[in-house]
Amino acid sequence: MNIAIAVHGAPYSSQAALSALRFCRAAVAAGHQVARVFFYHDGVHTASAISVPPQDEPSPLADWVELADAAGIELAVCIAAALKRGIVNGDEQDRYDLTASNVHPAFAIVGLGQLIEAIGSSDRFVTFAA
Amino acid sequence: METKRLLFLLRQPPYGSSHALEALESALVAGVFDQRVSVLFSGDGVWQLLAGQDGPAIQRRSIAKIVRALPQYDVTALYACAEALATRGLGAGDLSLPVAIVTRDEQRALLAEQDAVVND
Amino acid sequence: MAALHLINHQHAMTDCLAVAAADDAILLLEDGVYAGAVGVAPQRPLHALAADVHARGLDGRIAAQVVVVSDAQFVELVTGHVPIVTWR
Repeated sequence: MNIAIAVHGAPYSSQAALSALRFCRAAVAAGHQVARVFFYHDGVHTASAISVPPQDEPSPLADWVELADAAGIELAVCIAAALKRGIVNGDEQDRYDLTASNVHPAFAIVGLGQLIEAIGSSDRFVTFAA
Repeated sequence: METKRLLFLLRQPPYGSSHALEALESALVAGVFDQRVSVLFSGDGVWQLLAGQDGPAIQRRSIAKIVRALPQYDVTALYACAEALATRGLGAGDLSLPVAIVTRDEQRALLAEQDAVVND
Repeated sequence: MAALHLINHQHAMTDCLAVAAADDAILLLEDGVYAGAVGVAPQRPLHALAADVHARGLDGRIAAQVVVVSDAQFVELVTGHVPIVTWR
């Protein structure tokens, strides 16, 4: 079965991204496909490559990147939600003449239409709320 | 991509966070994408429908204006929870656009028809 | 097919119960698992996510009508229901 996922909560201030990560691992282990995880609302903060997790805690970012790579999952970040929150990749840095970019290269910056497309082309849609 | 029955379940008040705004923006996009979109305002989400809002007074976009744009994006199946309205002292005349006011039983039937639900 | 309702905060429980059909499944996760505690849980079948139950020290404090499920069983609940409704 093809399952699309949305993550609405920021890492650390919400459990959403960690719950979604565990769910995706279990879904992949059961033989299901997770084509796209769509990070929306404060969930876009998950894509920041410059967060420094406490030394005694696992890095949610590294875990996402590893799972996405192993299972062929697209990590998609909503561009509108990301830009407002200072989550920016190199293209957007150039476009808006910003001083820095911070999105991990494993994450694609995409339009909101990709959320609807993911829902439309999957069998199930699960949201992990803030 | 298939055409899906897609319900937006909006339960957050309009201004204290970005949840209402960003959920409404995704509903507008769903309308453009030719999905069979419905929107159900329930809980504190019914406050999004209240007439007389002035978001710019607190440096926010007016949520009522975005709600009123939904029909222009072919999102015309708009519902509000009757109980949520009643417990907040709201009636149809207080709202900034016409919506179908639905009971809990009608909401249960509406949910059962959906392929997917997006929340705020 | 019946719906699966996800509750990750206790406060959404009342509204969810008012709309959920009798044969819908309800899964408590994150802080939603507190709604599955003895003396708190409503009298209807519920599910609660094991990792969140255990993390919060709720092992042994979950009401009899609540089935504690693994991450793998969470996936089965998702594949066995449509739509999946997140309450916030």
